[in-house]
Amino acid sequence: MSDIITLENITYVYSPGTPYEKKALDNISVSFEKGTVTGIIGHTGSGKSTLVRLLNGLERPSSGRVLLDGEDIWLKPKSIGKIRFRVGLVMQYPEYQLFEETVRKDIAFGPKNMKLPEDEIERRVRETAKTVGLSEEVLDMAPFDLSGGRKRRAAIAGVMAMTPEVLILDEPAAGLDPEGRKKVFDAISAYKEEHGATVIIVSHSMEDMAERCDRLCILNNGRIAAYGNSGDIFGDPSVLIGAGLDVPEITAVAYKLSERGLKLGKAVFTVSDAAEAVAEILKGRKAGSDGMGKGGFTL
Amino acid sequence: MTDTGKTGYIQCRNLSFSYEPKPESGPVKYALKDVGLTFEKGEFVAVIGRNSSGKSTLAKLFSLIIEPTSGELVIDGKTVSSELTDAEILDIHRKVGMVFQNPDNQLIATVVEEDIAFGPENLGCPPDEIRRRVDSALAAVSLTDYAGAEPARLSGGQKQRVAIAGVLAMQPECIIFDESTAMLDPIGRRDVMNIMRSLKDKGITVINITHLMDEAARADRIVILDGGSVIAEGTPKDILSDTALLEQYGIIPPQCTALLNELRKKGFDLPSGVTPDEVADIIAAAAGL
Repeated sequence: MSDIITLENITYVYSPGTPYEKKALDNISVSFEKGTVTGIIGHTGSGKSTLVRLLNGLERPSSGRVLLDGEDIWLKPKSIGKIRFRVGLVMQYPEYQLFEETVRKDIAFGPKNMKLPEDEIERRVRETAKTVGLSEEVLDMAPFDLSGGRKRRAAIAGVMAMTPEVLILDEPAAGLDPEGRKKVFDAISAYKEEHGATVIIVSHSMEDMAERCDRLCILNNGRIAAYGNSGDIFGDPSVLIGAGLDVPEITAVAYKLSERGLKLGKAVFTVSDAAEAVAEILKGRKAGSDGMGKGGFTL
Repeated sequence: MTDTGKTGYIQCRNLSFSYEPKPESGPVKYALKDVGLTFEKGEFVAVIGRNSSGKSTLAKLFSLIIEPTSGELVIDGKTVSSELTDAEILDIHRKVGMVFQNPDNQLIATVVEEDIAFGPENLGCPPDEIRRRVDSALAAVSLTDYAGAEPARLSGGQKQRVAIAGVLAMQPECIIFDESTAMLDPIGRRDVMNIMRSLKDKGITVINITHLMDEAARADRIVILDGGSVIAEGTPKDILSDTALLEQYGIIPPQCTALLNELRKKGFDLPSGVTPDEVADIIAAAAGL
């Protein structure tokens, strides 16, 4: 139940002192608990990307502190690079950053920078390739010969190979087909299980977030509009709508059912939960009307 | 066939394409094989299918970026072949526009209205005609107030709308969207989807290539490609309710349809629906409300 990474009263201002000065984050405080999967959602320009860049030390806050395991990551600015081995960031479309001749070399790039011994590097490459579902033969292929989905997973493996305690992914599944999306999310779950890691995902896909995240943090205009368990957040669509976001389709259906006088027993945000809840209602109604039929009782 | 009434705006007959038609060894690998499809004028069609199913190859053929390896492709009555004159090619380029996944790859000018004027300028339109087209394209994507803005300072959704306006200024008859919402936030996606619908209402043929099934659900017709062939086509209701078909081709239906499909598995006999409103109506009716 301990927090691994904490933002404390963080404000971040872009281009301070110029006409383009913009406060991207405004006095934000939030903690991420060890071993959880947190989704960060917000519309374009809400401050999501700034937030994740602050978490792994790519940006330095204008004011406030970033604490990793209780320690200010900017205490020794010269060793900020080491923080990035512990807090891994997978950027949007990370496959654009693949550059080595083979997938093996590309995944090994991070561990090499950590100055690990050769055999340990080799071990990590194999291990992460397995985690993301890439076969041994793919390792010797050129990254550019892979399909889009495999390329994406190879790039994600490159960050995982550094075995960060906190893994942050910015739109990890954008632009992939449904199968590709599933494989990426499965890889993230596998990494989390294997390493007990904390995962933070930025995404626009409410459906994916509802299914994959324990917690949700909603950003709106540089502030936190809501932070809590996925169930609670999706249980009250007004917060999402207020922050200029969509609700998952299934939440919209539940909402529209309540407008028609059908209240589901609990907040639903996955298809199987909704199917259960609706089935309960339909069965109840059917039993009720059958009963009435037998009794010959009509109004 | 070509002279008798409803012939289709874009027609493919046994259309095949190979990126390597004469391989050094082994059989020819086709990106598209014997595709037969018709797109009517003013139709709104979603093309879905997993990666490398041939979706983007189809878009490249329609926009004359590549030429058919075999079979026939007819666009607005003209058969696509190497015999086409430059004027005919230019005419098809004007008629069939494309909006790509990343608007940054499609925007070239430093001011929004200049970017939109680029097409009509190249067509040799007189200045007042260019002005008229730019204004009407900006209005169509609700960006009139951004005429003088810098594209680099716009959000992804706004940039994509500028890209669409740039295509509209060519006064096209068909626009192909190749995963144009993949990089946008929910609001940006909604805006672009609404624009697709309004273009269709204006009589423009809209082809939306997408991985997002909730988008496919909003088209008039869905075409599924797999391994370069057409696997199925039909209304969103029919296609997205066919669980066996979806499972076989790795397609995950939108949550609305998935909910009805799950309920059917549980033994409830329910009709098909694709939007939250339709699904809520269907369930409410089944509950006797």
